[in-house]
Amino acid sequence: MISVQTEDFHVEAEYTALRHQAGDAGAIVLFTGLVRELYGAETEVSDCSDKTQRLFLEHYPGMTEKQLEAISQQASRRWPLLGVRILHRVGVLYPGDQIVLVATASRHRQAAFESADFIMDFLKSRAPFWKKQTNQSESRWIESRESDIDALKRWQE
Amino acid sequence: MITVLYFASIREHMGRGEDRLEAARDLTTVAALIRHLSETDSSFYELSQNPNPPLISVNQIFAETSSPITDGDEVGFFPPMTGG
Repeated sequence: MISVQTEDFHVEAEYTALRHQAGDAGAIVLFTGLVRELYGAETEVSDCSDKTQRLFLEHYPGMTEKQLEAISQQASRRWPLLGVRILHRVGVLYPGDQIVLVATASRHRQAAFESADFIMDFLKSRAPFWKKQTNQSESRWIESRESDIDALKRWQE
Repeated sequence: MITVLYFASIREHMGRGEDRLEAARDLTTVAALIRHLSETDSSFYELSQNPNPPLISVNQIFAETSSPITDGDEVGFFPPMTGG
């Protein structure tokens, strides 16, 4: 199940839906990503004036869903999954808000953990979402990180 | 007709989200489209000169400058993605 939406999501409802869908699953892993107060300023945590006031998340309607579906199918080919849910929010979000949920179900925990990790790595660099951060002094587009691109390489063995 | 879409920082740089171009006999690849837009639009010319050129999609699938395009296609230009 893929969803790109402005409204918030409820982890328990998503968990319950996946649990019903996944039948004889022995493991369900849920990951949620949240809006942080500081982006691209890991070394300046003491600078309180640079805190994020809000994030704007833009995406490419149509292509986003296709990419998320493709990533979900790639994960399902690689691990014996009984269900996958990917929800991603767009629009204006504030620190502490939920941005993304990835949930995977499998018979065993290793497949559920690894596939959720894989989906998040691919989602970050291969699904057309862009974050714009507004703090007190300015609004700017968040730059992609080399570490996110590098994260894909470990799945290429 | 070829629909060209711009996203995020590139949309802001262009000052618009979309262009529609008449399909033409010489517009057969993304590279030809980039050449055409660079010649006719100074904002796009600046983009094409950037050391980190935009990512490209054709019909919502990742593409390259050598990818073919045809009448009715949708071509996207956007910066590296920052979701999640």
